[in-house]
Formats: sequence, structure tokens, C-alpha cells
Amino acid sequence: MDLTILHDNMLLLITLATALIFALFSIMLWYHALRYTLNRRKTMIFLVTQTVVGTLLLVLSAILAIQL
Amino acid sequence: MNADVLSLEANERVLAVVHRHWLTLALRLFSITIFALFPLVTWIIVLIGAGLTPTLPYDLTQYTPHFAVLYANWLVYIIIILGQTLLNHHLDVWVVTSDRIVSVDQQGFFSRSTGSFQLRRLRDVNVEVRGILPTLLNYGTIEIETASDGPSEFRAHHIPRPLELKEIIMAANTAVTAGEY
Repeated sequence: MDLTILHDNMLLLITLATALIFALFSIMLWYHALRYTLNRRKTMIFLVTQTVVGTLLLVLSAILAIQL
Repeated sequence: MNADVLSLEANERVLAVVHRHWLTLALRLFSITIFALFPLVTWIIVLIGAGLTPTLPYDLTQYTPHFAVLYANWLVYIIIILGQTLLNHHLDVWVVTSDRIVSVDQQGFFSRSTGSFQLRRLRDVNVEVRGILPTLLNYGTIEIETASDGPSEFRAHHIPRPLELKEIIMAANTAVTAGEY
């Protein structure tokens, strides 16, 4: 796998850094939300929506960054 | 309902679960929306300005894909802030049970304070609804005084239908002192 694309593409690096931060945040969010919520079903819907939307944005960003 | 969070006793029943009024969340969401849209609006204004300036030596629209990448990353951070805001709002809760009032204040991922007040130690419950918006939307401050060795006053702001909640608390207090529960 040619990793020089990361060195040449600052936007892709930014996207990867954002993805790492988002992953860390999502783990904390899921843990705290499911541990302390009084309504599990509603919380699960929110967590899944939030994770899916964030992931889609990151994938879009990565695709655009690679094509540039 | 996930009652394990409250550590209920054997005969304890949940009478009311109250979150802050939706207006507090709406105001925060509005400011987050402004932050989310700010870069997009700025870029559109810059492009319009560049379009109106024919003497510009370079074409700014060629950088729109670059902007799109950065804006997508910006939106991910907005989603992080949004998730934290919604979580804090959802986890801030007052629960009135047959024996006590449980107050939970979630201030962040690593900051959470929980208070519990026995109904039989309740001395007084005061409600304050002040202002045009609170009166129209029926939310206000509820203040509880207890006879305890620790902190004896507790106040919660932006509580929806505070008078109804006061009635529930007073009825539960009467039932506890009369030994119904």
C-alpha cells in the first residue's frame, strides 16, 4: 500500500485526524449514553444516527481528498 | 425505562421523569446551527464577490472541492459538539419516586453529579415562573427545602410545567408521611 499519498495530501491527513477524534468521541459518547440513559431505545436511535452521519461525512471527505 | 440507573428500592415506584424545557436545547441547537453554516455562507459570499470582480487573476471556484473537504471535516466537529449537547440535555433529569427525588446533572463526559432527597424530609416546595416566555411556554424554577444535615436547599431551572411537578411532589410527600407507600 502506497502511503506516500498521505504525505502528499494534507487534506487526507486532516480527514484521518478528524476520523480518529470522531472515533474516540463516539466511543465515549456510546459508553456514557448507554450507561446513564433512562430510555435505551431512544438513545440507541440517536447514537446510531449520529455515528452514521459522521461516518458518511468522513467517507465523503476522504473520497474528495483522494480525488484531488 | 432503564431504572437500574436510579438504583430503586424494592417497593419504590417512579412517579415522574422531568428533563429541562425544550427551549434551552433549542437555543443551543440554534447557535450550533449558526456555527455549522458560517463557513458555507462565507464561501458562497466569497464566490459571489469573486464573480463580481472580473479583474481577479485566478478562478476561486477551482478551490470548491478543497473547501468541500474542509467543510465536511468541520461538520464532523459540529456533530461532535451536537452529540455532547444532546447527551447533556438528555441525561440532565429529575426523577420523582414514591420515596425520594433524584436529581442528575450531567456536565460533560467526566463530570456528573447526582443528588437524592428523601420525600419524608421535605419541608417546602416553591415554584417561580418569571417572564413572558416562561409564562407563555410554562416553564420555571422549582426550589425544594429539606430538613437534612447536608445541603437543605435545592433549585432546578427551566423545568417544564413546574406547578404540576410541585403537585406530584406534594402528593408523594403526603403519601410517604401517611405511610401509604
